[in-house]
Amino acid sequence: MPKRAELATLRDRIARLEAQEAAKTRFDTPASTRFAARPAVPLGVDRLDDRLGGGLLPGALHEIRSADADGPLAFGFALALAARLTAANREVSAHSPAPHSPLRGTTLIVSTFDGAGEWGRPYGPGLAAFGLDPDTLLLVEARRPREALWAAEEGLACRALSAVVTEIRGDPPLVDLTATRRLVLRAARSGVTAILVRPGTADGLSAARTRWRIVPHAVTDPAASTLSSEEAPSKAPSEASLETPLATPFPLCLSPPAWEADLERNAAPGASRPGGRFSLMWTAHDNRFTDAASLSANHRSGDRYGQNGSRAALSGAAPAASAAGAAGATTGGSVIPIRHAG
Amino acid sequence: MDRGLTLSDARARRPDLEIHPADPPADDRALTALADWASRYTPLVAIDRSAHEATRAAPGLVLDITGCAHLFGGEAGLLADLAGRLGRRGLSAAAAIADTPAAARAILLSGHITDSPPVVPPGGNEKAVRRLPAQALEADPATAALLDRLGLKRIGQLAGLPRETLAARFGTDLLTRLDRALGRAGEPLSPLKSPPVFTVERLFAEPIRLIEDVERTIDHLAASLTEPLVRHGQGARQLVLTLFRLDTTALRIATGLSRPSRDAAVMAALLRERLTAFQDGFDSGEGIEQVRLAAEAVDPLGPEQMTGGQMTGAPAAGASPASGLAPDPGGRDDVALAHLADRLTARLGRDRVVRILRRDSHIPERAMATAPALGNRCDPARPNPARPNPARPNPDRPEAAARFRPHPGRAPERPLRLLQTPEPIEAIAAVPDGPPVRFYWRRVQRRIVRAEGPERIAPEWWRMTGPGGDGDALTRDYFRVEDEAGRRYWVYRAGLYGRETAAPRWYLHGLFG
Repeated sequence: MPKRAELATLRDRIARLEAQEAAKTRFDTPASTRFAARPAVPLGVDRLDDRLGGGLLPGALHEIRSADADGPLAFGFALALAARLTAANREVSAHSPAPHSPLRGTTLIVSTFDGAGEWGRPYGPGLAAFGLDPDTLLLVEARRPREALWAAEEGLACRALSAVVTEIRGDPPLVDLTATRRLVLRAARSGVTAILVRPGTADGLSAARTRWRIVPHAVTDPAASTLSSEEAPSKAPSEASLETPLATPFPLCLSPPAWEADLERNAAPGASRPGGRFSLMWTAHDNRFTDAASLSANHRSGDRYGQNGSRAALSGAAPAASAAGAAGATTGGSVIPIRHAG
Repeated sequence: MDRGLTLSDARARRPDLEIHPADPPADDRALTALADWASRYTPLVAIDRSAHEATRAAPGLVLDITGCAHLFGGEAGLLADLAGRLGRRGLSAAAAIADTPAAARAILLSGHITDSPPVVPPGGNEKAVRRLPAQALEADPATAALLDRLGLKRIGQLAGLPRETLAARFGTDLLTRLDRALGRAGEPLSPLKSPPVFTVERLFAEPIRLIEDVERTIDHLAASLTEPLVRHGQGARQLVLTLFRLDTTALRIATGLSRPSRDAAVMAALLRERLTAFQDGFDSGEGIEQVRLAAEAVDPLGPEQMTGGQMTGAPAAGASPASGLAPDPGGRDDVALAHLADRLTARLGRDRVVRILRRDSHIPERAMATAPALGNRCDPARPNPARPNPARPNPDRPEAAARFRPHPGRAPERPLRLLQTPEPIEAIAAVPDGPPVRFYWRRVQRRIVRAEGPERIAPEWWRMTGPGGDGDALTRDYFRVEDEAGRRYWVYRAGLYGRETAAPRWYLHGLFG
C-alpha cells in the first residue's frame, strides 16, 4: 500500500509538470497555428475568480469529477461553465465588431450510451431554461469512450466552437494522462475550451488545468430539515397512509441550481495556486455564477412556503420579480397556493 | 428436378438431396450486389423481373452497353469477360447481346433448343429472332398452349400474320412482346441508379488489398473529381465510393456533406473517416481491382468557394453563399461547423450527431425532437430555403420558442436530462395532489426537503383517438423536488386522484443539473 500511494504521488507530480509543459507549448507553437491568447473568463464570484487568476481560462482543459450518483450535477455544472464561456464570447464580439473575430457560439456536447441510459439524454427545453440556446448546441452520442474522446478531439480542432463538453462515466483505462494531454494540446491550439465530465471516477491522472469535484449543495435550512424529519415519518410510515391526507411538510419553492464545487487542482502557468471549496449558484438569466452561501441565507430569510417575497429577495430587481411571478402564475409554477384536502 | 416439385417428391428421387429453405430477400440482396458490381461495365444496370412473373424463371440483369463494349474488346469480348468473371466466382450464368432487351432474353430462353449465337450483330436482330421458338416470347401459359395447338412454332411464323388477327386472337400482350423482341417497339429500362454525372475511377493491373492503398486511391480520386466539379460550377453533396472486388461483389461507401464542397481534402477526409468506421471489419475480399468515386448528388457552388475550408476547421478564404453575394463574417464559422458535423457523422452515423428541434407540444417527451446535423444547414442565420429548418422559431408564434427561458431567482422549469422512458417510483405523497414526501428510485430512498409544483400537463386530446394514439393517457401533475442531499428530480403523478384513477402511480421523468 505505501508503495502504491508513493507511486500515485509521483504520478500526480508528473501530471502537474505535464500540464505546465502543455501550458508552455501554447506559446511555443508557430504563429500560423497559434490562436491569440484570450483573457480568462470571470465566473462572477470574486473569491473564486481571484483564486483562478481572473477566471476560467479558455483554450484549456477543465475536468469535473463527481460521485457516480451525482453525474447529472457534474453535467449541469459543466453546462453552466459552457454557457458562461459562450456568453463571454458574445460579450466580446458585441464590444469589438472586428470582422476577423467570428462569433463562437456553438457548444459540442459529447455523451456516451452509458450516461444517456443512466441519466437520460440532454433535454432541449431544460437546456433553454438553463440559459443555453438549443440552436447553438451540437449533440453527439458515442457508443464507447474511445469514440467520445475522438469526437472531443475533432470538436476541439474546430475553431467555430466555443466549448466541447464531454461526459465519460466511470474509470475507463482509456481516459488517462495521455488522452487528457491530447485534449489539452488540441484545446490550446484552437482556443476552444475543453470540459471533461467524469462522474464516478476515483483518482485517475489527468493533465487538466483545473479539476473540480462536484458535491450536491444541500439545503442548510434547519427549519425545513427538522420539519421533514419530524413530520414525514410520523405521518407517512407505510403505504397504507397513502389514503390519509398529509400536510406538505416542506417549502414549496426551489432556489436556482447550486453546487458545492471543490477546486482540487488549480494550475496556473508556472505556479500552482491553492484550491478550495466554493458554494456556487447558477443564475441562468445573466449567465453568471453567484455565491450560494450568501444567497441561501437571503433565501432562508424569505418565506419558506413559496410566496413572492423570496423571489424579490433573490432577484433583487422588482420588475424582474413581478415578471417571474406572472410567468409562474401562467405556467402553473410554484406561486399557486396548494390546498390540501382535509 | 423441376420447379414446383414438392419436397417429398424430390427426396424420393434423390435421397441425398441437400436442402436449403428459400430466402427471397437474400436472393434479392445478392442480385442487387451483383447489379452493383455489373456497373463496372456500364452505368445503366437494371434488374429484370419480367421473365420472373410470366414463367417463374429466375430474375436477371439487363445491361445497356451502348457505347461501352469497345472498352472491353467489342461485344464478344465483353461477353467473354463477363462470363469468365462470373464463372470464376462460381456463378453459372447465361448471357446474350442483342439490339433489344427482349430479343436478348428470347435468345437466352431458347438457348437450349436452338444453337443461336449469344451475340447478335447489329442489324441482325430481326433475322435472329424470327428463327426462335414462339415460347421464347414468354406469353402466358394459355396463349402459349394455344400457339402450340395452332402450329405456330416459330416467332417468324407469328411475325408473318396480319397484326389485326394476332391482336384479335391472342390479345395485345403477345403483340407487344413480339414488337419488343423484333425491335419494333421500345422497352423501358429502369436502371438501379441514375448514372452520376461526376465520376472518376481507377483500375488496377494488380488488385489492391490494404486499406492504406485504398486510402491513397481515395486521395487521388478526390483530386481528380475536383476538376469536373469546378468546370461545371458544382459541389458534391453526396459521395459514393465503389470498391469492385475480384469476387464480383462491390462495396459501396456513401457519405453526405452538409454543404456542397469540391475541396479534395474535405472529400477525401470524409471518405477516409467512413473507411475508419469499418476498423477491422474492412474486407477487401480477394483484392480490389477497380475503385470508382462518384458525386451522386451535387448542388451549384459558386467559384469563390473553390478554396473551401480546410480539414482543421480553419476559416475558408472568403466563403460566401452560393448566390455569389458578398462574404459574410459568420460564414467561416458556418463552413467549419458544417465540416465538423460531416466528419463526426461520417464516423459515428447520422443518428448520433444531432441538433435539437423545438416542437410545439405540452407533452414533455414531444417538446423536443432531434434531427441529424448533416441534413440541416449548420448556419442558423442563413437557413437553406430549400430545406426549411424547423428549429427556427415560428414568427407567427413567438411564445412557442420563448416558453422555456431562464427566470431570475428561480429554478429551471425543465430538467437538463430527460429519461428515455419515465421510470416508475414508489412514492408517498399527500392526497389528492401533494408532492411526494419521499420515494424510492433505483432502490434508494430519497427524502424530499423542497418541492415546486404541481404543474398539470393533460394529454393532448387531438391525439387521444386513432391508431397509435394515447387513448389511455392520463393527466400528469409534475413536481420539481429536491432531496435532502441536494439532488433534484422531475417526478409526476399519473392520473387525477379520484377522477381518473383510485391509486395514482408516480414516475420519475428527468434529472436537474
